[in-house]
Amino acid sequence: MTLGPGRDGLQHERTALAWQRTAVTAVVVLLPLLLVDARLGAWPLVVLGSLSTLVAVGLVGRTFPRIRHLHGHHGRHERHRGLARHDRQDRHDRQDRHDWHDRQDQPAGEPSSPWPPMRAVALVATLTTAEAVATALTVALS
Amino acid sequence: MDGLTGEAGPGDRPEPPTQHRRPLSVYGHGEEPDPRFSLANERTALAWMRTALALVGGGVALISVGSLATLPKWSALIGAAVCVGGALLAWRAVTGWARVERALRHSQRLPAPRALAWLAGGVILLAMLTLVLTILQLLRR
Repeated sequence: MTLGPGRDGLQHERTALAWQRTAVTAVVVLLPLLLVDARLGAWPLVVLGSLSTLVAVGLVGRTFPRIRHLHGHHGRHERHRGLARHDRQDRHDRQDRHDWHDRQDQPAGEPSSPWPPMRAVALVATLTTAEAVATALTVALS
Repeated sequence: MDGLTGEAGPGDRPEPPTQHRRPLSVYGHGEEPDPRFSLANERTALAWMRTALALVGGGVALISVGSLATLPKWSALIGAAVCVGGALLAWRAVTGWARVERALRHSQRLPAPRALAWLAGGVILLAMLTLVLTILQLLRR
């Protein structure tokens, strides 16, 4: 059975793109609140929001090693694609598993788990929510 | 070794060390699943995460519009409730990823996506609440 080209390379590409979309959304979502707080004259909230934005940028920065990691393995799969084109499906699958095992043999510094950046994005959502609740209370009580 | 092709099979290699991969509650047990399944699980969790961020963004938008225009004050509180729902959903995405990855590593059945029902229920509830409050606001005029 012949599969479409780049099946495995696209897996990494799609995952890296999903990370990029998530990171961009996480950074952008807090910004309107800053404008609202400034317009309301709630300067403590503006300061808090600015600090939260800086923290958010730092936390979202933790997603970049993951994206780099995924792009790095994309290249490796691209090389295998040429081989696999003339190969049988079972051999292709076996190569996938070899790649996966190779990926785990990386130095400890390079993250290969999506958990830390995912937790960071959840923390950004929590920070934004805290800022939003504070702003909403300011609006409701004003 | 694979007897037919002379290649090493996936089972011939020892399991790689997992000490540097966190969380250990996920990577400390079981066997490496097919990478395509792991990446699909990661993308699904990210889709949930973006849904959560969209909820937070919607709440922020409601609060922003409520403060800029002359909307009733309860609209800001509903916006805050939407944001809280978004934050809860974001953490649910993280735990959901871990649960599915654990199931994949143990070749177990995947857990049912219960968060979907909660999300739909929450959105419907907030929409109904907004509708009722809007109607009451109109009747008061």
